[in-house]
Amino acid sequence: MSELVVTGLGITCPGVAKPSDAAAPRQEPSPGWFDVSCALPGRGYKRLPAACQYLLAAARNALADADAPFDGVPDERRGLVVATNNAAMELTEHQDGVILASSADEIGPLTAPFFVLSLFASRLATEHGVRGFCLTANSPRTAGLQALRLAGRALACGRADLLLVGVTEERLPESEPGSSHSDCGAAVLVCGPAASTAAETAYGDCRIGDVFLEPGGEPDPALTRAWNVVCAGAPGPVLVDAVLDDSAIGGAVASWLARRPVETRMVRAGAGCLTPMRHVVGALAGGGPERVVITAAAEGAVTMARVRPARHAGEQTISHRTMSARS
Amino acid sequence: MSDSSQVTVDKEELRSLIADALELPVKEIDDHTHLVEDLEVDSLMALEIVVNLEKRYGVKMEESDFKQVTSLAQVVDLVSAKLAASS
Amino acid sequence: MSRRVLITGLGAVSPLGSGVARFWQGLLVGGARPVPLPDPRAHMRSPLMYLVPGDAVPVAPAHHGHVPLGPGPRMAVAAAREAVADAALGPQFCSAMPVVMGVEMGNAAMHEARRAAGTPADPDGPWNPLTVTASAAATAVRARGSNVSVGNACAASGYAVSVAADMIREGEAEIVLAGGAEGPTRVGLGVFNRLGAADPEACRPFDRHRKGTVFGDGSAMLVLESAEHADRRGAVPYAELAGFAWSCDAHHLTAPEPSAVQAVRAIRDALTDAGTDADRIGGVIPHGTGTPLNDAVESYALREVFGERCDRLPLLNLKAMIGHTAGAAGAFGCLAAALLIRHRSMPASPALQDPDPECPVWIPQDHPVPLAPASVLVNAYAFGGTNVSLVVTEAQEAA
Repeated sequence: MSELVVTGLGITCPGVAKPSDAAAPRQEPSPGWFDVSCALPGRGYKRLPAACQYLLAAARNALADADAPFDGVPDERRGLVVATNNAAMELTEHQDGVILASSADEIGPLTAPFFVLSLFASRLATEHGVRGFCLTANSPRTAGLQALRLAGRALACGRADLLLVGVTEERLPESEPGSSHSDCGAAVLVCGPAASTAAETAYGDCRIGDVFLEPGGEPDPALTRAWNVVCAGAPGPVLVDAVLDDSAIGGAVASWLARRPVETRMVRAGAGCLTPMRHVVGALAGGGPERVVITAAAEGAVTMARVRPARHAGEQTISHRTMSARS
Repeated sequence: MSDSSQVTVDKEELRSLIADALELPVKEIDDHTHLVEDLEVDSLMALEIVVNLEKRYGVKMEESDFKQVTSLAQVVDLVSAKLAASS
Repeated sequence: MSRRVLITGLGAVSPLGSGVARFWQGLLVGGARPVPLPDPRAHMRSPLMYLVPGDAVPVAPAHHGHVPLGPGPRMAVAAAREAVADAALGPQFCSAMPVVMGVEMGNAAMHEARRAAGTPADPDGPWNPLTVTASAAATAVRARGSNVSVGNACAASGYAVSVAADMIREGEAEIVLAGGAEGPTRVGLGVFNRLGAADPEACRPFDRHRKGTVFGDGSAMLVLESAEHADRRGAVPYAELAGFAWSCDAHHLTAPEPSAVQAVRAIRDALTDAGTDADRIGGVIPHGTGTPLNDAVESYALREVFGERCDRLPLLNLKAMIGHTAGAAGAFGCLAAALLIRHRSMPASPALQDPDPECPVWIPQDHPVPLAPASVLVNAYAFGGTNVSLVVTEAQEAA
């Protein structure tokens, strides 16, 4: 089971000022909530799709938070995993509309390539000279937590020495079902292997497990097995953040949790894979007892992240962390 | 100002169009500044400029024209020639 | 020490028809031809695609849960079933099996159909995710391990196969289903037209007059299995996935980095990972898309690694035969490599009208050539600069 140690956090979400607020209830994005000129000064950002801007901004925050960790890492040893479901839905809606109404010749060139979901990660890789590898995860709802597992495995297989794990989402256009509670914003974590990470710089670690539930099957044994693997070797956290929808799969996970000796905070899941990661970020930034963030897609995938915050005295600002790391 | 046989291009308007596409202040676009070498214009930005030219001046650009998008002066000549050819 | 990864099952739905046998036969007779997308609202200059023949596109399953399925996920289900049956995997093997899919456009056709019909949507209704392919495939074969969908554009399923192999190497699983699937997409074709990257005639990689790529649809699936497990249950492998490596250009959104330094690194690292070297590769399945830049840069990368051997190292021009299958391309490359190994032969590729002198590679066009040594390099390079190279060899005898 691959483990990741987190040394930097960055978040760009409506109504979220700092990583320790990341798990606060989702706020509706108000017009102008994100100011690209402020978050990303300079050329080359204003024309990017919004979800790419959120991702770049959150990555800057995370790298600053970890005190420029890529500086000592050769570009071919830097890695990146980005999760998204809906970053390009608004754009492809528009592009398809243009084709239907007139012709492909009318599609705007600068944003055109972003119909490809993976380009959001590629743009981030180019921004920070990541040449080890760049991987996009796009499983419905579970991709954010799965990105942590993909990252941990990549580290274990020696594909990089340090990496960014990010999630970015844009609201669904109103023409798509489920738009009214869809994720919006980005979160980025700086992650490295436990062996080479200095303890005083760590926010904590994560261990991820996942399973696939068949419709109409018996969920409990599979869920319990996955839980036991993820929470192995510990008294077991009793705090759970469950990011679930009202599908049959979401309901099955909720019922299973209700029968376990855990204290569950139920969080309504909308379209996208950002909300579960927000809870991971919030848990790490806030310190406190370990917890499990669990999420499920109506399509069957269930992913659990056991988050063990290192001992921090509450939330620390960037300057505090930099000072304490150097003292 | 326009008449039915306008074949001249307003250079300042074109300068502004290019500056806008490249997210640069107008003053950085000299008549002969090399767009690719000096201003880091890449293929996507060049295409964006061409598309804006097509829309603004009602001309059609071919792929062979793209190579001529090298400086403001060149673009003025290109668009003027297109307008003259179609008038 | 790395556990060995074998390829023990294959499944395909492709522009050459339904099933792996038709895929191989189709390669032997020179591949498919592109046709105009049968979509009257695809307003673009070159709406060409290599399409899975109508009778080979499965009509079922029509839904996965509440999500209506377009052709991409349906083809994934068919190919997944074929691969699992081909590997002779009974339910007892599938129950813990992870599924890793490379998916880029996913269920896009369903969303495009909805837009064309102008159907209003319920903002509080259940969300229809784009990337349901991995879930649909897992349900079809009753696989209940990790269910992972990865992107990475034109290299997506190359990465999916790699991730699946890493799962086996790390001891997380004995068997993993990996692959990719894409259906037709108006937006994908439209944008490539817009960017001047769509060839109006055909997909003709390495031809001097190539003008871009032409997409293809379909699904390719592979069963990856640890050598010990295959040996225990008496499975006969097609080949071994001996090594693979990743790299990232971090250069430009759409153009490959011209010095090819990262593409070269991925090839060299894949050879090292496979415990082999440039002299012991018998053939290459290049990424070769037909865009002017990719083919030139890839040719350069191959020559950097193989030197003068390039003149005698045969390439299979796969995209000239099935088109560019986007997220499924990497899996099709690995599937074709496994078949090349099984048959010890590389089919001839369609004749190039005018081989590009800037692409000094050898593409056999007259008749099949022997594959010797029995090892194949597969490349997949994504729009956006993410690269993967994989080395597929004959399965070694267990030590």
